[in-house]
Amino acid sequence: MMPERMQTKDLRVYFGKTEAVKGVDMEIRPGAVTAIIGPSGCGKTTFLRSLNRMHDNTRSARVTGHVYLGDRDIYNGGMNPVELRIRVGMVFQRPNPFPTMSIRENITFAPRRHGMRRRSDLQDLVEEVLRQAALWDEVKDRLDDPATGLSGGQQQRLCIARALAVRPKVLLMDEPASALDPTATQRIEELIFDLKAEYTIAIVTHNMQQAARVSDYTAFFYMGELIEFGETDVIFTNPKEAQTEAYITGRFG
Amino acid sequence: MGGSWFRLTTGALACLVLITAGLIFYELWMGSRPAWEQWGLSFIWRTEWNPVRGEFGALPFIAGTLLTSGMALVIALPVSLGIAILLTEFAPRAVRDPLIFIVELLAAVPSVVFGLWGIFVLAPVVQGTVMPFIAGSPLGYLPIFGEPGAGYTLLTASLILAIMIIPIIASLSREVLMTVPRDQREGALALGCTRWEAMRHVVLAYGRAGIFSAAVLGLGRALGETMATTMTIGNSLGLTFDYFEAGNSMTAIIANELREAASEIHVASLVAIGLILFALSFVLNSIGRLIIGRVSRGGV
Ligand SMILES: Nc1ncnc2c1ncn2[C@@H]1O[C@H](COP(=O)(O)OP(=O)(O)O)[C@@H](O)[C@H]1O
Ligand SMILES: [Mg+2]
Repeated sequence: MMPERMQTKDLRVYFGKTEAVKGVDMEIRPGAVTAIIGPSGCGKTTFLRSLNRMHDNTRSARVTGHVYLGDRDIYNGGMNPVELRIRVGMVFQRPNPFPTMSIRENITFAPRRHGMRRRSDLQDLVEEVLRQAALWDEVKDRLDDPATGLSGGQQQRLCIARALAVRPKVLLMDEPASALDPTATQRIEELIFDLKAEYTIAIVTHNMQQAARVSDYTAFFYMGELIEFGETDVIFTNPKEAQTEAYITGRFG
Repeated sequence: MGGSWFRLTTGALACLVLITAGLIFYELWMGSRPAWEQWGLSFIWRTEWNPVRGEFGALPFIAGTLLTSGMALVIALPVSLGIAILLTEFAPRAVRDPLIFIVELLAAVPSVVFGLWGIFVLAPVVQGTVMPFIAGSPLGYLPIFGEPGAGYTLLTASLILAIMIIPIIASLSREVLMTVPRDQREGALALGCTRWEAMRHVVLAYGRAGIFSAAVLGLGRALGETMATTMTIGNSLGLTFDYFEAGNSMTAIIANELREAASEIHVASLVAIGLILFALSFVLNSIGRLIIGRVSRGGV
């Protein structure tokens, strides 16, 4: 499985008349972790959700510009949203397992809809993605229990496993650890580190230590604009822009 | 301080409700005692109803009520769910707003108006079109459909009841669907599900307890509906399980005969039917609560 590259060109997102993302050109490199940081309300979530066309379902939202997955322009006739979201998975800020389904069903739900029917295939898939999400040992004896019986951190890893089960090329994560305690957060971070060999990962975080720990590249957003993009070490040790420096040294945000 | 007053007041009100229910039950019990004394529990399954000979039994009416309300629910539930789904997920604004308006309007129409509409519009259509159509289709082989006859039938009453409970079930279901958290739906969409798949497998599943309670409320409304049923059901006195025949219901027999009932045993029999209806509603609601409690572990 080859991770894929994403790229935006003059990406703008409007909610009604307000422009929440203001012309962003950015690359999300394959097989690496790109962190998106910036103060609250600067458009991180809005940017991330434009990468899997999640705004399609918000009435007031409008997206212009280009987003490429590989060389296909996902907004301008290059790909339909269903096809896109199979390739570009998403993990949400709050763990959102499906409460009426068991742990197993949470994982097999989407692959079954996409045509995977054989019991043994599904069984293998469940084990594989739960291992990838470092959850297998904790849940292997209760796969048929309700997913809501898991702790918050386990639920979030289940959601990651669920996203991996449709075999995406890219994984988008919107502050995946913000609702979790420090131990669970650490597990998620380790997991992200393990996953980046096989997946292109973009992670939104407002936690700069987290960005520094997990990412290879960092993008700093401010008021809907991409202020600075670069290798994480450079951004954190030697940023070019004054705003970036002010933010990472904690002078605002 | 404030909290304890609040608890005291709500506690007192809750007691009041219980006392009222108890009093109603007591009154119905006292009023129907002659019937129970004469026939015991067999009053429930006796099928003869003959005021002249003083023979009374509740089964034709219980059956009529259950058959019409049940069929009404069978028809109304999918339609209502369809409307609710359309309104929450698929309808563009231009369709949604008028549809919401119509549904709310339907909920506000007095039942006697539905009855009139049943007599002048629905009954002829049932007689001229619906029954011949069903009889000619594979459905016609079902034992619940006999020979098509006149327009005042169990089927007619069922259809009226269905139309009356659709607004209730649809608007309650819509509210249920709207309370399903956005991240549930988006969670499914983000996995590459279509909007329909997200709705059917995730949103509906999440809201199933709420939808179930909407159906129970709709059924309760159908069980208790009197005017529209009385005007369309045909008011026959015999037991029938044939939707193409005239039937009767617990509400209709009470509405039709209580005023003219001459003998004590006749009045008592009608009150006894009222008591059975009361108990039936109570049981139905309890079952509803129970099942909601059981499935709501997951969703709403
Ligand atoms: N659905 C929406 N409707 C209207 N405005 C929105 C919506 N979502 C986000 N916004 C606005 O867009 C801006 C960026 O929000 P967001 O992307 O959530 O920021 P971040 O994730 O960086 O905290 C904010 O000003 C927010 O109020
Ligand atoms: Mg955000």
